[in-house]
Amino acid sequence: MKYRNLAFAAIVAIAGWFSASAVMAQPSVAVVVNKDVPVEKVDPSQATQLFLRQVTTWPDGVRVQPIDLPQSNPLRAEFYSRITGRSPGQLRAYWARQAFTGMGVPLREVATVEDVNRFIRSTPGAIGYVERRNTEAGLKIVLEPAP
Amino acid sequence: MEKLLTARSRALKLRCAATLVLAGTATSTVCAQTPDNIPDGFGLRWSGFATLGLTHHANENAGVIASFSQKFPANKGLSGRLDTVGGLQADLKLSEDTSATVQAVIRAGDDFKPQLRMAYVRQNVGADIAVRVGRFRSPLFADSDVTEIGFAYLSMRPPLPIYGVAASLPHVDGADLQWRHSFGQAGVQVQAYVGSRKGKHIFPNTTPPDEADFAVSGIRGLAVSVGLPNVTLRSSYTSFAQTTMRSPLLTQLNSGLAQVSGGLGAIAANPFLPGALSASLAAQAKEVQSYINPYDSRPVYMSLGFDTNVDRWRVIGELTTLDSRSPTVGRYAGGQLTLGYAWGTVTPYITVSRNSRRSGPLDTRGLSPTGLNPVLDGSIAQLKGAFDQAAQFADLSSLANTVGVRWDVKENLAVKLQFDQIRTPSKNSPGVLAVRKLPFDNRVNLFGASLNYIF
Repeated sequence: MKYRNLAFAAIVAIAGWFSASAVMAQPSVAVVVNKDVPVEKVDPSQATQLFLRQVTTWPDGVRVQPIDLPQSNPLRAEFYSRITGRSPGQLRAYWARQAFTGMGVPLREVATVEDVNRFIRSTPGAIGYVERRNTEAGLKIVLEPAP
Repeated sequence: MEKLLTARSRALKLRCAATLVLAGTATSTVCAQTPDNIPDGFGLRWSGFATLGLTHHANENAGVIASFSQKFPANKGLSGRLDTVGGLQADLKLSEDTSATVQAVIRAGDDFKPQLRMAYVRQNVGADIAVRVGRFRSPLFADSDVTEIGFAYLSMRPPLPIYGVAASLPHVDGADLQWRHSFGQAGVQVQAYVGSRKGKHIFPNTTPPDEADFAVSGIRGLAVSVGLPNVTLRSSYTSFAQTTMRSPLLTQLNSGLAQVSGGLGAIAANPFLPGALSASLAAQAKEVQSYINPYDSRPVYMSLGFDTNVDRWRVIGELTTLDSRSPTVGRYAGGQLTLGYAWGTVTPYITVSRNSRRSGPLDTRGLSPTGLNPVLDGSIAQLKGAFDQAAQFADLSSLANTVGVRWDVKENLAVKLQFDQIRTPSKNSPGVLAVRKLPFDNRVNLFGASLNYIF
């Protein structure tokens, strides 16, 4: 009986750990732009083009200013895998191609999500990604991946 | 003593390479502390790439080379000469729209001798246009400008049947103009370039291998790429006004041809010969004269390719042509198709690639014996032998079937394992392999492993 209780407790603990992991793995990333950007929604492929600098201007002619988080920030990996469908390694390979052939430079990076918020608020044409729950006023959400 | 010095010299070079990689690692740490300043801020940015690649094959008579400018092929057994490369780049942003870039490369296949691959000043002109003046990587085909940057592409190396030919032009000295513009969901990038290039071309079939001075003038090219959702299309056209190759061996050959042509002309001028025979000999003299500098050409390179990502699938394809406008070098059509599937950070892939000669071998009928002068006919026979062999060595036709896997261990570190079976059409056709003498075993089973790193 004692062992049965222990086994039950273990199952509950494991199930709880998995549930917690599942909750933690819930998508939290949102793509945001400066409030003056004349676009209300973008789809994942458009977001990919914007972050790869394949599309360089907004419809009003303002230059697109993408901003990135450093490699150490887990939101970066989530953004690239969920929105662009590519791993951070694949994206880095893309930028290596651009940088070492002189055809482009990697995206500007800032240290924290707060810096992203600040940059987007103050920069016309800026686009970045933040944790959904940390979205600040003055930013416009243009893409939230489906759960 | 000599061996000892050679061993020491190698150890020193390896140490230099290791120092370069370590210096890059240290630099990357410094850079990582100030990412906000770079690349959009002003100042100096250091970056680099390194590939440690090992290959193994069992073919005694064929070496594997990445280009015909590679001094030391990857011969039978274990070798690091094909893929091992390191590069260091400095970008200096001088103003909001002006920057300068320098990139140096060392390759194991060239005995780690440093080479300047990029050195240019870039000026942005408005939001969409940039001009570069100086030295920049050659954009002949889709992957031509990244053949040395292993981390930047999926496989261990771009397919050798195509890129083994194109990589002999690793950079251009001149200027280019880049124009980027968005049309709805299409991001268009146009690169127009002009310039020239000087370098070495290795003929592996002589002992020691003959190093010819290789000069290209009047390079003019245009590359257009269109980035659409999930697919990038690219097309390019490049023409060279003149390519010349000069070496002591080629000078000897030219001298022999000039003597034979002169001898034929002298006999043709003999007033006692029948008119028809005289005219035929004069034509033959002219024909032999046209063989002088047989490797000079005016090549035109064209390519049309795509690179697509759909869900986890990656498909890359490219069709290429090379028309050398030289009867010796010939005309080629090639292509490659790569299919990869990403399981997280692991991407297995397969590639098939071909490059086939579409023009016949050099016609050496001009080197037929006259039947009039035994000494002259002896020289003609000797030259014909040399030319027939040159024609065989000039056939670059090759094919390769490749299977491999890429593992992105970290965001800036990848490990690749790859197997290539490289073949040429016959035992008398060396293709893109470094072959000393013909006939040879025209199949190379090449196993490779590489570590690709960028910082």
